[in-house]
Amino acid sequence: MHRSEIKRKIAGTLFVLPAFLVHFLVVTLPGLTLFYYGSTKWNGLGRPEFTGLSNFFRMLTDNDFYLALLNNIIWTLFFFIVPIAFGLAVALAVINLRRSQMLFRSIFFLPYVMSAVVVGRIFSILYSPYIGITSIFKNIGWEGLGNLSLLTNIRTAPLAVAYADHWHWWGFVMVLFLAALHQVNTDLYEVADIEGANAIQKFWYVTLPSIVPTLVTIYMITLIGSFVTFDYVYVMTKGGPAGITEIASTWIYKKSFWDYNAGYASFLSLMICFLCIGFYFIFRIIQKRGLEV
Amino acid sequence: MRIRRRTQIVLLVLISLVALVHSFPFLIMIMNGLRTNEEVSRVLVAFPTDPQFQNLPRVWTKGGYLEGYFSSFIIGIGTVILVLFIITLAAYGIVKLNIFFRNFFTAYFIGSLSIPMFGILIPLYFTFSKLGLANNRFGMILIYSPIYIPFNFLFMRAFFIGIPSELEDAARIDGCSELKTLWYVTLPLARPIMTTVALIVFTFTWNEFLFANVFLSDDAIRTVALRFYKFTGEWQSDYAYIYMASFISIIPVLFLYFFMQKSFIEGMTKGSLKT
Repeated sequence: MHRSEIKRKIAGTLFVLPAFLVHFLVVTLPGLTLFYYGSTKWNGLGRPEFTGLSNFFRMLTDNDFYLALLNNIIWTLFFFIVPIAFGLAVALAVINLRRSQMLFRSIFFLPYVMSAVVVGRIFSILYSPYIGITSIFKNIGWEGLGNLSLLTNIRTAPLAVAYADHWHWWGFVMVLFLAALHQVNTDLYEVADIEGANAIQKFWYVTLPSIVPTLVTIYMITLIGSFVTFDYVYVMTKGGPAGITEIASTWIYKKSFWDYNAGYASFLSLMICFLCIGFYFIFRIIQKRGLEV
Repeated sequence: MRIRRRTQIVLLVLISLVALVHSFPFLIMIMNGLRTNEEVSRVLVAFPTDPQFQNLPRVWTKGGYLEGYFSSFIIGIGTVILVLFIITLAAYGIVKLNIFFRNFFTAYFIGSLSIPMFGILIPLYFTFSKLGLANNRFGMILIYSPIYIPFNFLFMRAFFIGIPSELEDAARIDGCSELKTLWYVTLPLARPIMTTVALIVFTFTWNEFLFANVFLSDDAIRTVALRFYKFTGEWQSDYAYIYMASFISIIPVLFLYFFMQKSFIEGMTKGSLKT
């Protein structure tokens, strides 16, 4: 290579460097330090004290963490089913409307741009037994239902929190489906009509295969998102009542910033990172394979 | 799918019902913010027949929203500028210039999409505290920017690949430097995509709660989302105020949403890879 060419190559590399450096220094490097902090006993302020694998053994017997993870799995299942089924159903209906389609799209998508703290608080009020939705039952004389406090009742709290997040989320899912449905080749429906297929057959053999890539993407976002979700639980219940809505992120947060167990919390964060990175690459492989088939 | 007129009307009615139930929390927020606290405590749903517009300035002052808006705008606009600046340079460099480690950089940004931001909260907080970057608006800009770098870089890269190099070559023959070519030739073409990126990044920073709550403890620089959270704790039983505070907290985003819906929805759904 000529000198001038090397010079030009260096100049070109300088264009990419700022983005790389900001990302590397703020995300990747701190991420790598998790390996170190995760093997220490550390309160976040003083010097970390190296303790090897002790945090790993601590996790093995930490039942509260497993309960939190179990809640993440339940949360994932809820979001695997409810918003996706609802979003798809509404998208299938909305696509048949002509002029009003854009209007409904805007209405259903709106909560997605709203702050989670605001949505969480509005729903907290709506769930309150004094002035919330259940107070309507009190007015018609159903005292039992009327006094139900959705967020402090062990049976209803998880569903109540998940529903608030679902309200904010499903419109986004619906719009993704709507975009995918617009891509379906309409000739195929005509062929299906000629063959005498009914609506269910048309959905199964024409619509569904065309939206599978979108479905895979939504499942990926849902799965990864479910293991790092935080805002709704923190704002609405802080993991209560009695830990029934505790999830991994709120548990790690409390360990670090309330109990000053930054070492152990770093180890758990590392586990969550592994989980998400694993999911991400599994889904990328599925997506690639899917395109070849 | 072609369907009959009758089915279409039934669908329209059904969807309108869903839309009504779906909009209920939003409508309640708007209406109840304009009623008195006593009224809201007595009846959950009612039209504000005697609208209490003074709720707005009252909550604005009590919640410290002036400082909140100031802080959120600085952080939001700062992040937008930094992200746009560095991803444009990077995408231009990778697509149009001869550089070292091209494949490495691309692979790095694709791979880094997998790192969950929550995972690095703890080491980042303690590192930033030591460096004096916690409790600092510039520190927040530094944290928010990389969250959006990988995806938007790839987004921008795909767009630049689509721009024919002949345009830039012509500018270079006319004696433009690389930066000048980028500025006068490539960027004007990328304006729509940059608007979309700006909208998404701004909305995200405006709404973000977790990192802001951990990093910004100094009251003077706390963002709108944090002030709202604190306000709802202090005025727990003044429900009309909380509804009004909710509204105040989302005004800029609502405003952007109503006027730029198309870029919003398209940008966010294209950006769905981001976690």
